[in-house]
Amino acid sequence: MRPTLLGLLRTAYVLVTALVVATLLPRLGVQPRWVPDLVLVGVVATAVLRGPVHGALVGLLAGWVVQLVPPVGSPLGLTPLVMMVAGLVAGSFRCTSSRSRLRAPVALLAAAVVVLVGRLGSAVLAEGGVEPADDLWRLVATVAVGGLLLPPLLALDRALVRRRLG
Amino acid sequence: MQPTLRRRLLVVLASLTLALLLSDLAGSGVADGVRRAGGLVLGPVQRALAGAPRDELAAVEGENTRLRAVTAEQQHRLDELGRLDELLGSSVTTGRTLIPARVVATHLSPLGGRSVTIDVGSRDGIRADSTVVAAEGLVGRVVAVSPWTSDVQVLGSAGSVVAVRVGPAGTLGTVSPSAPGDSESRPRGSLRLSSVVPSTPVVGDVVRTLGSIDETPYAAGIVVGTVTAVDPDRGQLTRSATVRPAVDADAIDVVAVLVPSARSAPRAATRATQTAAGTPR
Repeated sequence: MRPTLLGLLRTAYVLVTALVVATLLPRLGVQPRWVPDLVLVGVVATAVLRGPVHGALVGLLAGWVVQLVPPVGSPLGLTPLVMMVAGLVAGSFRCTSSRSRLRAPVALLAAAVVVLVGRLGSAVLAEGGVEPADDLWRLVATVAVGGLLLPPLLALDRALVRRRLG
Repeated sequence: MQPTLRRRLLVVLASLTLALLLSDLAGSGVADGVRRAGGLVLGPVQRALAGAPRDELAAVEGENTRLRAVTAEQQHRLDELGRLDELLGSSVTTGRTLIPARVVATHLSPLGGRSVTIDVGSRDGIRADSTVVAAEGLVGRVVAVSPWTSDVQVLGSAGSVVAVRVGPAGTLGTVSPSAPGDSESRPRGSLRLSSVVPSTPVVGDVVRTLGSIDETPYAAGIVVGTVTAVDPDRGQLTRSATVRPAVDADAIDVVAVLVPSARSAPRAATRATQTAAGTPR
């Protein structure tokens, strides 16, 4: 497997957004509840074009990047597994025949719900503390930003594949 | 890549992740190594992104905070000195050394509560289980250290329990986050104070840390918060109360890490003397 321009861009996107979400946005005074999950948007953009297995793989690797950006979360490996399931779910929305504009946002909504359920579920199981309202707002912010961000990401992906750079 | 190969890779990576997750939950040291590696690689990038500036303004700001912390520290030491003076007529105090730091990242985990990353690490002399304070009071303790950054468990995280002294009398108690099984509902961000001995806390009482051996993980006499409400008497042996933390967990920026200093000189025995006024000095 040789490195492609698309692969490099995808890695850079995940790294940069993971750092921005953890470091830059809180630094700029954005409330935690309004910080969108930009990494998830990138995972969904890849997953809806390539299917469940590829989506799960990308989700797992992106989850590891998110997990390893300090402060490293307490159950190491939980975020990658949840993101893997989210990528798997988003990938199951792939449909080569239809080119509906709504498919990608719906896949993002499903993936964001998976992440939300993962957070709530682990909090319930381990008796941790979580604010369901904040997490719901975060989901809304993610879907709203994803609705704007997904079409250009998908167009870029398609254009690079067409030019044999993916 | 072949689809079967991709599937096989996915299965291998997912099992590795699951194994790491289980080993971390079981408390193995492998997970700590991974954590340290993450801090080693990405910590410097975060420092640069957060704009940890080295210009004059930042230096003055940092100096200001340090001085304010020193003033608060001195004020508390004066209070303590006065009390000890009253009791014995003399006192022995130990100097406290600080390392100022800035918060460069925050994280809200569903399990561990809130933790923050500060921009000093083992190269600055930070060790795990050091006390972290802000100008207003206790922030938390250092749980993980990498060369350039350290992770701090903020007061009120799940599993953080601080031994405290309450009020002017110094009644013993513990401060912990309000757990799901708590019988009282408390405002968001406030903590639960449970007394160790049968006594009733009073609204307005200042809660200070009790302190640990060699000042790790918590140094003694640091303000934790104020009692805002006392739970109703339901016939239990000890009373519990609600404590508002002195430091706003949402707005931690510049903090100081206390360098633990073990006392080396023996404390001299003193003799209490009675003055003419009848008050012990």
